[in-house]
Parts: sequence; structure tokens; C-alpha cells
Amino acid sequence: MAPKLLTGNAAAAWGARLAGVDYIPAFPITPQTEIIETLGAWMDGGEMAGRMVTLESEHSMLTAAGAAAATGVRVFSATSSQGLLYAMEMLYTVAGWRAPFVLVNVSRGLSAPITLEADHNDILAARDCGFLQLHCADCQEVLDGVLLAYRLAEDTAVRLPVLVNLDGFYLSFTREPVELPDPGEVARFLPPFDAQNIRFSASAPESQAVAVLGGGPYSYFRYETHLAARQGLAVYADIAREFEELFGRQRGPVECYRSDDAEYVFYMIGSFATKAREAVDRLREAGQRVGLVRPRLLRPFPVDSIAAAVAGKQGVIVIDQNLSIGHGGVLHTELAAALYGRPDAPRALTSFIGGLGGRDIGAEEFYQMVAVTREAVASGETPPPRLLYTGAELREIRKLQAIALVEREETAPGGTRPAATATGKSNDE
Amino acid sequence: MSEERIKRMKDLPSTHLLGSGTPMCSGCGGLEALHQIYDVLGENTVFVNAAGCMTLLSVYPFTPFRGSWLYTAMASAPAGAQGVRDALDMVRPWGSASILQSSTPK
Repeated sequence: MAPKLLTGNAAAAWGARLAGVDYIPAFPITPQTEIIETLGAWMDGGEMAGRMVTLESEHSMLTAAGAAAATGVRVFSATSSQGLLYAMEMLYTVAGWRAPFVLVNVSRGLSAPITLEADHNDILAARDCGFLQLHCADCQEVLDGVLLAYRLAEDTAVRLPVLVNLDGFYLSFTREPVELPDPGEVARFLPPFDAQNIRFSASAPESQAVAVLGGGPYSYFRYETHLAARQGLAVYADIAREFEELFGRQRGPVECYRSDDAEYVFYMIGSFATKAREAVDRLREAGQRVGLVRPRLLRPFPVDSIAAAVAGKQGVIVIDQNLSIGHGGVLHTELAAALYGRPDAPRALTSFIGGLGGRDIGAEEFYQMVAVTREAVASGETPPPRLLYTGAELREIRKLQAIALVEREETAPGGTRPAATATGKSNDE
Repeated sequence: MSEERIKRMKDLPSTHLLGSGTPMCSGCGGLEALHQIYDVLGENTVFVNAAGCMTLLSVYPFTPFRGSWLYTAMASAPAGAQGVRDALDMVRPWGSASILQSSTPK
């Protein structure tokens, strides 16, 4: 079938449609709403079976999603940013229920200040909750990711919900050519949900999320959840291989772009990695051996695949589109922990924070980050995390501050605001 | 579940579907209410609970219920019930024979 031009949101909706989802508890939020609108329109038009229910909040939406999955149907939902955080209590809870379903998150920076544009602080806030995480760099990966996520979630060795992440605006509202897989092939890859022992019913004593007394049983169930997530590594490798055989697209846990013979590699997640690929090509043309290593799977964390991909490199340039306030980048911290003590670990691991709230990362900045990392290797001294910001951006914020300052001074009690103009009219009119 | 109107305490069913031996306090009014509600609703009942004393009705691995029980969180028991209801409508539609068939504990 010829590729269709689809937004990332439409690609996510197609993923859910092809997966044959039964149930969609929904709540709107920018930049996700197009996903549930698309699915709702299909259901309305009879093009898609299943049931959609709008809940009164994301917290309730996640509760209904987990409850329905625990009752044995295939569930899909989507949210973003503030919505994901509003549902945070239930993210932990439904993962503890071991309820397998797929939740798409359309990444968007967190308040305050409030913004609509993308960064990864929302999805990384959900890092520890028990949901597994797939991160997409383009619209095709979004569609594929939803299908892979159902296989991963429903595998009997895993049985955990999965978050599929795409970047707001950069992917959610950007049309790219997307190949729609043949529904028959999808059905071969992803058979109907076999709930087996997690089927809730009205007449059998099946209990979910019961209390435990003491740390012993509590720890046991938490460890079980962790070990199930770790089993997801082998499961994911298998299903990615199967996916490639059926659909011809590589979807392994880590994307390695021109990194095999590279001395320096960028390490990042999400759609901005496509900018890094472009920078890699330009740097290669200039004779620099640079590559890109991009985890698709962030939970379970594919430590060995990542360590192998960066082994023996001079330096790794970690670009975090998030900021752990008071420390630095989350990806950098996790990578450092994964590599510590390995004899073939890269000599330098530099940390850059960029792309917050949709801020672009320019080609020159990619080149500069490589230069800084070369310098770190040469000097043996790694600089502290760098917050990407250009002189032009600083000039722009200074202008905004100048306006704010004039307003504050002129409107303050006893300020310098003129009472009236020469014509006797107030300035406000 | 029936539409029968019950006017006097002594007309309440006394089947006592709710098991005994929960860690609830003796004389608990809530527990007594739950007893009565369960008897009226009947065996084919799913319980969805929010945080409170009744969290302790099911403590692993014990349950006083003959049907399923889902503990949600402080704010979202109705949403949990919505999810279970919607899903049950799909796996065994409301009023279908499959509900009755499944009423024998396995």
C-alpha cells in the first residue's frame, strides 16, 4: 500500500485501530486531542468497532483503563503533560494491577510556566511507575510503536501497561509519509488479547490491588513487577525481530545511526534525534566520525544494548530534553550509572540540556556540542551540564523583560504613568 | 438484582453473602450496610472500592467476597466501576446467558 501523509496523532490513532482495541476511556488535552477525535470519528462512522467513554479527568480515565484491562479487554488511551501528571497516582496503581494496555503520551513541557510545546519532563516523571516506555522519532514509529507496545504489554512474561511517547507539535501535528500495514499482517503479528488469568468477573472471587500487611509481601509484589519489566527486554527483542520480518522495518531497542565506527556519538530520545541524524551527516561530510545512539525502549532500560553501542567511543554527547531541577539531565544520569566501571566505557560523557518547551536545537549547536566533548576528552576534564541558550534568545527575553519592567514601573502606585495626554484623554483609551 | 421494594428490616434477605473474619471493627455500621447491600444485589456483584477502612476488607490472600473486588484510589472508585462495567459489557453482555453461566464459582 502507498504511504499516506499522516500526523503523528493520526498515526497513533491508526495504531489503535489496527490493533483492534475494544475500549477507549478518553479525556482531551492539547496536543493529544486529535488522537481521540480521530478514533471517535471512526467509531461514529462505523469504521471501527469498540466503545469510547469520556471520563471526567485523566485520573479517572487511567482508573477506567486499568479496570477494563483487568477485566480482560484490549484498552487504548492517550494523554499529555499535565494530564499524565494528574493521573500519576493511577499510573503507579494500574501498573501494580499488572493490567496490560497501551497509553500514548504526546510530550509537552510541564507547568509552570505553562506551555503547549514539547519536552520530556512529563514522560520522564512517569519513569519509575511500572509502565514500560517506547519513544518515537517519527510518525511511522508512532504507528509501529503502538502495535509493538500491545505485544510487549500483553506478553505473559510481562503483563504491564506500556507508554508510547511522541513529541507534541514536532510529531503530533507534523504530516509525514506513513505506511499503513495490511490489517491481515497486523492480525498475524498481534492476535486478539488473551487475558487468561487476569479476567475479572462478577461471580468469582478475584481480587485486584488488595492490601498487604508489612514490607515483606509488599516488597515481593514490587520486585515481581520489576522482574516482569526486566523480562520485557528479551520479549521486546523477539517481537522487534518478528516485526522486522513481517513489515521490513527495524524497531530494535536502540537505534544506532552511523555509530559503528564513530569516535563521538549523540545520545538522546524522541523526534529531535532526527535533527541529530542530519548533524551527523553534515559532520561526516566534514570528515568527523560522529554517530547517533537513540534508545527506543527506555523502560525496561536496555543497559547492555546501550553499553555495547557506546563501547570504546571517545565521547558521548548526552542531550536531555528534560531538566531534573537541581541536578541536570535524566538521560545523562542513567547513562552514567549504566556505564560506570565498564572497562570499555567512553572517556567523556558530556551533558547538555536543550529543547525545553519546544525550543529548537540548531545545527550549529550540535557541532558545538561535539567540539565541547572533544575538548573534554583532550583535557580529561568534563564540564558541568550545559544549558543550551543562544545570544539571540537571551536578547529576545531581555526585550520581553524590558516591556514587563516598563509596565511594572508605570502602573505601580506612585509610578511614572502619565495621568492624561495633552488632549485630556487617558493613555488607556 | 431485582426491583423489589423492601419496607421493613425483617424483610431484608438474610443470605449473608459477605464472608466473616474481616479485620473490620466489630459493630462497624459500614460493614453491616455492606452485608445488606450485598444480599440485596446478589452474588453477581463486583465491588470497586476507594481508600478507607474498607480497604482492609481484602488483605492478601483473603477476601470476604464471592465476586471480584478492585481497590482503586481515593478519588476514582466510580471510574473503576465504569471501566469494569464497560469491559464486562464486551466480554459478557449485560443480561446475557453467559452471566448466569459464569455464576457458579470455579
